[in-house]
Amino acid sequence: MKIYRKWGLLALGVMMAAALSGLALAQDVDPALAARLAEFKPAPLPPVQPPAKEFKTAEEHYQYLLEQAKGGTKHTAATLPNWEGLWTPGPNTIAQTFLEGGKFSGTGTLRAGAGPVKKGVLTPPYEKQFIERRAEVDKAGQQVFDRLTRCEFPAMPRWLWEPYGKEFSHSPKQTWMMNDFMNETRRVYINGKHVNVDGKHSATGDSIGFWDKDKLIIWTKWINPADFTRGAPLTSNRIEMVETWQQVKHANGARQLATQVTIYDPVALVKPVSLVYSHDYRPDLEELGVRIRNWECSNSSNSYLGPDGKTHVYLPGDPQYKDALGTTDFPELPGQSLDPFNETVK
Amino acid sequence: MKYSHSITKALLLAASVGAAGAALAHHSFAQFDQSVQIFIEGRVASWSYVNPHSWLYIEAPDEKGEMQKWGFEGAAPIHAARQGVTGNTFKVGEKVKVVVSPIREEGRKAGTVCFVVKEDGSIARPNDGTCDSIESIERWKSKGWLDTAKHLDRHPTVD
Repeated sequence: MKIYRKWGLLALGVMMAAALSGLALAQDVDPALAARLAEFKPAPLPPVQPPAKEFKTAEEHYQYLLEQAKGGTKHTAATLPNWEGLWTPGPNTIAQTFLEGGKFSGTGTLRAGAGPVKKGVLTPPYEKQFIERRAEVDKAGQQVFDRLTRCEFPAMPRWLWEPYGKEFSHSPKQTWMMNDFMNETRRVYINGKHVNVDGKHSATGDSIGFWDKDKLIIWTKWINPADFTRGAPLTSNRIEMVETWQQVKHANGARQLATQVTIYDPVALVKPVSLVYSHDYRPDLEELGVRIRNWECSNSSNSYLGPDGKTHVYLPGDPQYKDALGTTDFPELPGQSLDPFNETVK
Repeated sequence: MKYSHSITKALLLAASVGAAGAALAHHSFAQFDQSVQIFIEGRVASWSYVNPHSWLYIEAPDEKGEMQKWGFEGAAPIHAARQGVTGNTFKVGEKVKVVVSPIREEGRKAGTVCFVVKEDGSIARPNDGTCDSIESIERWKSKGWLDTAKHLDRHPTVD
């Protein structure tokens, strides 16, 4: 694609010129790779595709799609679509779904001044809460406290957007969708039925699905109440979702996962809403050596909710401070530092 | 240090291409005063390149000249990596000049990092999405602050 080459050459030229002028950006990576990282642009977001007709429930929607697919495609390990690699989330339509004139900001959070709340999308109590949340955002510049600060899981539907690394793995009986963020893995039971021996809801809920050729259709239910993202509406414990995932290969070679989602939430939504999300394959990050590591939130996050309802942070010297580069519970023993490369523990 | 404005503008342009999908923090950054940036010189005490956020700790004098440990919050590793910053970018003991937005709590030695000038003059950008480091670098250069700034100098982020 011409525009990609143009930006790539520009970025590379900039890096080289900058290095010559003394305005070098500190890079631990090859300049050409650094240029590709700077050049990266997500693939264009496809339009939202609402369901072919209105359904009252996610179950009706899912069963309709299953019938349309004549019971679904029975893939073997050899015929399953290949979604290998490291992916990062691209644009989505959260902002335009819930805000007048809302646009994807590139930073995910629905920022101050992003637009007034669309009336009649959310039920009265959820609309009232969202208006209050937006007022807080507009006043403080950001929502002053995000539940994720407590190391909570993003949960569905927020999982679809959180802009961290993702990996996808298919087998004939299951699909695993792995998020860097909080090690939050979704499991989709292919051609399965919903079961809940736990007797409770969870962050990712229970997902079943089927293949329609190269499309993966998922129905998820029993999800904890959560939100769409920071600065966005809340969801209720009655939310259910029908997703259609498909890999798109663009002319420039870019691979994209496009996800059409319809949210059924009779407590929070006046009627179901449809959104589209996306993920982009990131060979540049793979080349840099980025891999999904274990998320260490509980022993490395020093942010907390203060009595004023705002976000605060513990610092070295505070009794509650957690040093991610400290030691295990056995500092008196040799070899217990969590930072053996630097041994910064005093 | 001399900087070329045209180069920086081109850099800004190039970096903006990759801005979509840029950092969304795991928590609100409203606790930092993003209307102001402070210039702090010190030596790296530790570089914590971990989820959910990286932290650069430096040893630097406070207003009274007493050495303190300062903590500056940055992006999650995957976001810092997109900006060419890895777990090896800062070494313990190296001299750095850090431009940060300070925490709002009086007396606390902390902030959110925007960019870091290393001893060789190169600039690292471990910032989260709340700071547009390319734009800030351009601003600090065009105002001449990077050439003249002294420890603990403060400047507004907009005119």
